[in-house]
Amino acid sequence: MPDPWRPDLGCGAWRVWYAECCDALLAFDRVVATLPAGQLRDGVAASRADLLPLLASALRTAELGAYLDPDGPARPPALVELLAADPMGDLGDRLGPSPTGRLRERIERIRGELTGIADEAARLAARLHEHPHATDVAVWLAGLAEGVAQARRAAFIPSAYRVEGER
Amino acid sequence: MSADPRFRAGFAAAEQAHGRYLRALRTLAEGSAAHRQVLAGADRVDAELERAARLLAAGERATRYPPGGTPFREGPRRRLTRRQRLTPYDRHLHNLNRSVLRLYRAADAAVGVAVAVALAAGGPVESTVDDELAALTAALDELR
Repeated sequence: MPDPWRPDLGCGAWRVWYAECCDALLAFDRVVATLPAGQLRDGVAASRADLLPLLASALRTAELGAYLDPDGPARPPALVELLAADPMGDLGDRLGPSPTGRLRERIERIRGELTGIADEAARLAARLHEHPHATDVAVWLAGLAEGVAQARRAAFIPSAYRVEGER
Repeated sequence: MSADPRFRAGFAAAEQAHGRYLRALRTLAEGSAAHRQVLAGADRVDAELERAARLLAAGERATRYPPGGTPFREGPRRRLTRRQRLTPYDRHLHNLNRSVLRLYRAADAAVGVAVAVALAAGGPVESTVDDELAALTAALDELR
């Protein structure tokens, strides 16, 4: 599992987008660090293990995007200029967007889910601060667990490449 | 290699598209249907890159005078189409740009297959990849 404190992706736009996912998980870590020792802190911290596969998915997606289009899904400016200066007119409108835009969307979706989980953890921390003697912490944690499960469903882990005949 | 920067830029773009196609091929698992189909189109992509190289060489020798001689030639001129009015230099450049476009489309199709395979969920892979493979076939049909 990748360590969110040390993203090892190369430099470029894909690294920035993956780093934003790391930042969301780090925000979650900071919230956990502010919680006092107790049931809520143990329950929230336990959710972290379920978030690491999301980060791993974002890393694999960013690595694939960086390999296919190192500078991001946007077309190189030199190519756009070349096609626009064609003697018969602008050929640029005959070229659609790069398919790696879908990889960027996947990373942004994961970032959104991780940010949502961090926000939910922060809300629980604020609620505990307002009600330090609350007795329904287990209900709070159940809500957070449902949020984590939803995040995993929304940003599903890509399946391994399949060989014909293998399921 | 031609010293003309426009032809040089066009051939560089063609090489980038060719490299992109090969990178997409390398991300696919060997033995998979997607890998076989993308690999089958690699020869056409290579041939298109060779065509771009020939256009690059032709551009080095092409003249910039319009059809019919120098711009200062006297006498009546026949009616020409827009394409025919292009100088040999411009025609070679236009053909090179069209080759670049075809190569980029083929590379996009191969990248689309690689992305579809990577993003497929735990269900059947074929349902999401088939559309991309059909687009790849269409893009490769544009290549000679």
